[in-house]
Amino acid sequence: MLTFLARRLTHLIPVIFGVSVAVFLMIHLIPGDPARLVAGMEATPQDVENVRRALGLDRSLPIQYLTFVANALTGDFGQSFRTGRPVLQEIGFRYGNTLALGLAAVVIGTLLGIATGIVTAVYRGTWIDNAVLAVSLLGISVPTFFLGLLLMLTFSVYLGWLPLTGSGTWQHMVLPAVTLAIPNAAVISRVTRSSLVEVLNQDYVRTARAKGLSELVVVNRHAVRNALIPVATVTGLQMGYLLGGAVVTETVFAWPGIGRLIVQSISARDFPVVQASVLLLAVTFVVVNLLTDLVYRVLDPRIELK
Amino acid sequence: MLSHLARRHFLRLFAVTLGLSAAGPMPATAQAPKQGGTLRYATGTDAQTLDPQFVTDIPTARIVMQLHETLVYPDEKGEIKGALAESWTVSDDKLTWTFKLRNGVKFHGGAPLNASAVKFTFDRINADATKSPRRSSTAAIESVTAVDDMTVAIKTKSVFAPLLAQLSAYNLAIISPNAGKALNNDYSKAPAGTGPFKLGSWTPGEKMTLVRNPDYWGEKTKLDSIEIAVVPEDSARVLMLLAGQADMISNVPPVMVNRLRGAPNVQVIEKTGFRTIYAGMNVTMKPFDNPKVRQAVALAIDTKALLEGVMNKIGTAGGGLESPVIPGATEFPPYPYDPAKAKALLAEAGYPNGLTVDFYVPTGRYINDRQLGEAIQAQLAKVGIKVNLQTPEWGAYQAMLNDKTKIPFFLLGKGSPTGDLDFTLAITTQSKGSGNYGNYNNPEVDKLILEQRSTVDPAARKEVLRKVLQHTYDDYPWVVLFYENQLFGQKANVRGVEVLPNENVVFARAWLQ
Repeated sequence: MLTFLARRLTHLIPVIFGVSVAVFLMIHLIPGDPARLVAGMEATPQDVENVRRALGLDRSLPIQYLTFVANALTGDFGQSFRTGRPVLQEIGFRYGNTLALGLAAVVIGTLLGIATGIVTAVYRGTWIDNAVLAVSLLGISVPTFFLGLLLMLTFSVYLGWLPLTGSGTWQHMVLPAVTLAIPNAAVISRVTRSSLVEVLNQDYVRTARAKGLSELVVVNRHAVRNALIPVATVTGLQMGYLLGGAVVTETVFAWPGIGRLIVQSISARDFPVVQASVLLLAVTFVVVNLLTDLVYRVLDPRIELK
Repeated sequence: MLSHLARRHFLRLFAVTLGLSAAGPMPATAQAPKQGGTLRYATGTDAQTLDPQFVTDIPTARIVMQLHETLVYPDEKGEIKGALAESWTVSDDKLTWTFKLRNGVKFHGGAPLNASAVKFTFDRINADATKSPRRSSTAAIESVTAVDDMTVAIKTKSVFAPLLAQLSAYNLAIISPNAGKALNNDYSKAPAGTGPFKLGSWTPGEKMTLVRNPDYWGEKTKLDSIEIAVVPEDSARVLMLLAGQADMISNVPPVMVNRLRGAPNVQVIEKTGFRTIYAGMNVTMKPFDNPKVRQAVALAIDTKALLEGVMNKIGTAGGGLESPVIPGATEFPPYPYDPAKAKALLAEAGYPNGLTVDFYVPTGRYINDRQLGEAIQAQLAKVGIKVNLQTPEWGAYQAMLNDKTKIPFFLLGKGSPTGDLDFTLAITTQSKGSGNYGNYNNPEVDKLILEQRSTVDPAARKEVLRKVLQHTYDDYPWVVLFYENQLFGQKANVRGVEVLPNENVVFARAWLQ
């Protein structure tokens, strides 16, 4: 187990190196001049030159990259071009917000998805199955901004139960988390259903029924656990995306998360922030994958961690 | 772009629903201003910094100018009035301007305003170590000296008529020498200007609180505080206003304006701004090197239809490069719409069967920019100009514009940070101007730009500036579509918020009924 963890974590080193080179090259090679964007449209050429020198962009690319790496190794990711604040400070609290929102959405989405998935598998072919299918199709197809605005209209403007935007209290998190969770739940529900239907047709389930076990025990004790492996895979992937920041949801609900930060920083060619946050997301993705593998092991002890 | 279109339709539908939902009569009786209360303001973008010398965008300037003040400021009519300077005189050689400072003014930290604080401010923006992106704000200034404790002399390198307007720019707001030792982000933690509000707290990217400055030299604010929330999504801000979770919102989408106007407890503030939206042509690129082609384009664009059809009448018509609300600008009519003459001109220019051009349009930078591009595309098609719309992302677009040889035809906006024509005409119309993306070149204009700078008499200077605008109007290097209007929404009980033409918002005299 420990050697497994150690080995998997060493995989992070090439990932981080590869991502840092790729991001550095991509952001420097796309057209656009950060000095010009920082100085603003109505700046004089002299101002733009001053900014370029102040940001260190007058140096050659390899020098810029090596400086970035050398500083990053000491934990210094530089300052944001846009705000002058340390990059770690810019990313830090936003990443916390994204983690909180992403985890809430994963929990809601997974619970709702698995629950409805089990119900539809057990009652497959009935009106319940069809109704849930219809709702989950809607859940997958509705664009996030539309869903978000509908929820806002209903729960904030008409009912006045929840605040519209912002963050700070759990009430602020409800609407964005539900907005993110609904498409998530819809996918997990479909995966759970098909996986469970397959398991319910297995011989050992027939044996369990033949032993005279109640349907509740058959489904919950014997079938569900075996049906959850594909669900874990899908949940892991969804979690990777959610922790990468949900740009649209963050924007609609004015949730200060990392997705919106990255998009803004790319538009502003805020190189230090883009580099550091993409690195952080790459690490997150690797860690989430690792956790998913651990969950497999919990669900099915026969799976060996190599 | 399908999703974008879908979104617009959705907003319309949405606006209808909201219109039905809003209810309740609003008593509109005049009252004496009420003391106290917190105004909740939702804006699309957060301030980037609170250090005036690092401000390069309007949303940031709006916040910074609640906390800071400049020596002088233009009032609603554009007339320059004293703020921190009580009075001033100009020397006979017109090179030295002497300012008498207002007595009894204190910075937020408690330090008094005096001549050395003013000198400190100007020296700071000019210091290499400061690395200010707007160092050129003081380019015309030779030296700033403290004559006595409350008197400052500013000497210019040559006669510089727009000095007062330049001094009213947000980058030259006066800051406390104590707080000003820290730069940019460090200064922003404890900014100390002389403004009517002080910084309460700030969570960057999320929210900020400004509180009343009890030691303000002028009339103290009625409001206890302003809570500023950063809400990037336009429709979310509108919802906040209608749900009563915000008292005032910035940048109302034009499609929502009629519905907001119909809602009884909400008001729309619409003010002509300093920003010109124009379609520029590169006069050194084919086919626009031919003046007849440029004139044909000008006559084939129906600006009235754009304003009414695309902009929902949100905008101010006009043909001159500079918005007529900027002091010193002269009004020009929009070019006439004459497609028949445009066709004839194209034939004369050697394009009897029409021509094809690439038209570059930003998306989301200005209100309805892409829709404007599409409408112009349709209008030009009627005279035989086939337009290919190009919509690069803003950073790439700006890089191509700066190259000045890559983009033949472009949609762009142009603001006026100093509120004086000198600055923007110099960068936009001078042959070597950094914002002259179409390589417009008229030696007479270059000469007039230098002439207005040394013409201190306002009326005479306005005439020189008028000539510059007249030349650019007659040469057809661009077609001005309209001047952008600033749109704010506020609850009916909000009083006294002033939206200035230079895009600043003054909360100093605001109160809640």
